[in-house]
Amino acid sequence: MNWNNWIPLLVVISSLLPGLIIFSLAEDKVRTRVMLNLFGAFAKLALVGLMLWGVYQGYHYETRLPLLPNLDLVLRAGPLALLFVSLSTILWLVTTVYAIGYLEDSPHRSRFFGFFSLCVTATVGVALAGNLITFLVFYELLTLATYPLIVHRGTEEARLAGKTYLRYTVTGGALMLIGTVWLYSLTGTLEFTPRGILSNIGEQHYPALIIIFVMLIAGLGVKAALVPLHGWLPKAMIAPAPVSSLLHAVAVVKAGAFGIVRVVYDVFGVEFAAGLGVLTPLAWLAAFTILYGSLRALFQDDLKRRLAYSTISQVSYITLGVAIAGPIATIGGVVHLVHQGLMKITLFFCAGNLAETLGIHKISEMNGVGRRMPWTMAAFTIGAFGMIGAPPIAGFISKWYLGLGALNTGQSWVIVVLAGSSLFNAMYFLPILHRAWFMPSPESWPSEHHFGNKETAWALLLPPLVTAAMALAAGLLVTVPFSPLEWAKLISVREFYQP
Amino acid sequence: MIIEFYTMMLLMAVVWPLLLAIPALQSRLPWPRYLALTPAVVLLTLPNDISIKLPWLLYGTGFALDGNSRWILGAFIVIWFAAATLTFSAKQKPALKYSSTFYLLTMAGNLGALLTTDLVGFFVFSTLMSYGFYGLVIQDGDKTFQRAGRLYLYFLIAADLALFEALLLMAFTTNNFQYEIARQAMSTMSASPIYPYMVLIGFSLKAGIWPFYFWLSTALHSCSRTVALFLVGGPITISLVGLIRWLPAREDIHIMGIVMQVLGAAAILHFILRLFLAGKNRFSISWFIIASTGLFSLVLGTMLVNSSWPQHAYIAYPFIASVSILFTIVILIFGKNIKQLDSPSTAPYFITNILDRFNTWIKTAQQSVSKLKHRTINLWDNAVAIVVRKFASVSGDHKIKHFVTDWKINITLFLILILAFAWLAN
Repeated sequence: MNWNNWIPLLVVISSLLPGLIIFSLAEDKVRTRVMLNLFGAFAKLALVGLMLWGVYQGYHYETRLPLLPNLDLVLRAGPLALLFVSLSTILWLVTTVYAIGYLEDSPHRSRFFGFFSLCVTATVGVALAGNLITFLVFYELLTLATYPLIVHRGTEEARLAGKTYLRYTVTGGALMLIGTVWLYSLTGTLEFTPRGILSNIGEQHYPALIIIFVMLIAGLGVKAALVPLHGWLPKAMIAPAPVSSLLHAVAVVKAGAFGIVRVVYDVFGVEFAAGLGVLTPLAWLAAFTILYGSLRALFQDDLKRRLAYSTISQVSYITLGVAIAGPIATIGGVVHLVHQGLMKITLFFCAGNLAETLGIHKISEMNGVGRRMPWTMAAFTIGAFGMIGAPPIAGFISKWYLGLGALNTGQSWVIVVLAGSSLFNAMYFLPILHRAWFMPSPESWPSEHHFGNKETAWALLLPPLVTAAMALAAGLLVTVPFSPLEWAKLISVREFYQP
Repeated sequence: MIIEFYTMMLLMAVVWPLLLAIPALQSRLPWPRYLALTPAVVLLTLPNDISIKLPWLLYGTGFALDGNSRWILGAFIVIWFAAATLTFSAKQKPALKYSSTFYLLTMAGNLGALLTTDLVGFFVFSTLMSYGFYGLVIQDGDKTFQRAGRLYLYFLIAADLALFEALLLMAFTTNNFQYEIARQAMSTMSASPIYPYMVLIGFSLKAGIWPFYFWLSTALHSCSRTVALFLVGGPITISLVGLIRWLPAREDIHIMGIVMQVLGAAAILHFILRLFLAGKNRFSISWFIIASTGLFSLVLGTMLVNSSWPQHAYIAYPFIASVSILFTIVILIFGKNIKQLDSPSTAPYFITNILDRFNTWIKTAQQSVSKLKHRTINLWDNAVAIVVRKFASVSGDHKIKHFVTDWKINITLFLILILAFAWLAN
């Protein structure tokens, strides 16, 4: 085993170790905690950067540790894994900065940041997992690490939200476990392999494979918030804004969507799954979720709840892209994994800023807020327009490839879904922008905090500006090397064209 | 050296207004609205065609100025200069804090859409222009403005969706979006026949071509002289330019030509009737605009029918430029009383009512679904409760009642799974 083989493990450890140390820190050790958080985030960033460069040069990074007889714990850095790891790592750094500002002077910060680091450790593990059993281990760790973050406020409402979250995710995890064991009994392997592991399986197993597929997708669909498994997500909005950002853009929801991509591509294989007839129902379910989430978002006055329903809708673009089962739609689905993350995290950061600075939680309280917090609302505007799919922001690129992919595979009905979703997105985002920029401000805000001559604290303002700029750059500079789109193309080529 | 300078000016014509739109920069420079126009004015002094490629931007875009674009650029400079002069001495209300930002974003979008060399670039910049223009219409905040803006927004979203579909259909045929190459690709019979219709619908909605003119009269009634100038210079002019640049020359396009002729004739007829029926000294600028776009539609339709399109497309540019300048003069002279001249159309009420009803309908449907969901859950809860009571009374174990109540979702999923197994086993 050479040095390169340890890098994936180091990437996981880079957040695990600081997290474990942070647990043991006293509340007043603010500086040490901040240093540890930032050290972990930057170390992970450096390691991921190294792997990105290495994979681009053709190096192979794989850590393999014995876990069970004939089943290893495998961490492997392929293009798909690196896309998700890069997203998580970059957004973790930004979210850490934001969380430091957001939770200033609040209690239980060591507990919060400890679980925060564990959560990212689990996400990176999910991303780098080289087989289904490793994926499952980290997937369940993610469930457990996220629960304390959701109930962090300790209120009755938070505890109820946490309970709901656990019920959904533990059931999903159990389904996944049964599906995984069953799959192993049929195939004897759980390694993620381009075009899947089922090409040699006999036709007599097809009914069983359909059930396994349903179980795996149901297990992953809970976290990916596919309707009707989405009920936990709007309730989990009770958590602090950095947790919401983490849930919606970096970790939980993304892990579910990423898992669906893995199962379809690297376990079943797109062609095999299409032949099994399971992708069309999945595409319909994703389309229904897209429209249902948007429709529900329309009628929410609570800003975070509206954003939560928007996530339910937007994350299903990824599933839709996968289920359309063509090279171009794959690009659209996979690239949306990154694009949605950038745009949604911006929106949640802004929602957090409004709550923290002015005490605004409802859309009906947002009149004229653009004049009071122009930079925050400028970032929110970019995120919202991106979600609508307005060019040149990242969301436009995702919708472009999904639409084109649908045309390419002769599934024109997807265009109608995309158009309907864009229309709904416009209907629930533009009124917010209208209120913020064009309505007169109230005489006083619900609970205003002053930060000198700045609109809010720097630690709260910089993260949404950075992520909004990234969302804009991801749309404008689509063809430059290392752009999310170029990586998505690489993944699509590997899945569809490489022998 | 001179060529490099002009190439820089070509880029700056778009980038400079965009930079100046940032409030922090805008407030540090004198006369930002005039200043933003400087590169475009300099560009107009160059006698030759010029272009710059930006392969790293979007899908590989670029900017160019040719003989045709020069006509429109000249008209734009006149319009934007007039608008800057009109707003120069205007006292800023607090509500108009970001009016310069919207002004400069609209300008950047306007110039970008004109100078870009490909369809994706055109779509990007025209979207920027449209939303910037929405900001200009809506910024004063009274109810009439809001209604005009809302109506404009409805049309804008519908138009952008149609154009997005058109772009997708084009991308399905070719991956080169440069105007001429894309046009040739879409002119082959293997390209989608829906494409020209999507283009027509998209740009007709944006330009207010008859019968999609409703928002025009409301916007003109509601807005100031400056916004009226932007309206002519921005959405209308650029949409007509877009129509020329996006339309292919398919063999079967003469059917669309007939449609455009009919629309154009109807618009002119509409204008004549309104002129006769209107009271003394009461006329609307919007009627003249509708008549002009109608005339444009009629001529373009005739070209499509005669298959002389796009060889004679160059005629359209001086036409659009002269009509824009003519309307600028009209608005400058008569525009002081624009609100008295333009009565708002009653049709927008009809449209907004339909959209409000649609909104109510969605809300009702959503509530009904929610009620149905709760009823189903209640029914299921009751069924589970009956089973649990029976089980508890038989076994004497009452803890199970709490367990089932707490984990009913999971138990339901488990039962569904068993049913699925049973179904598949059969």
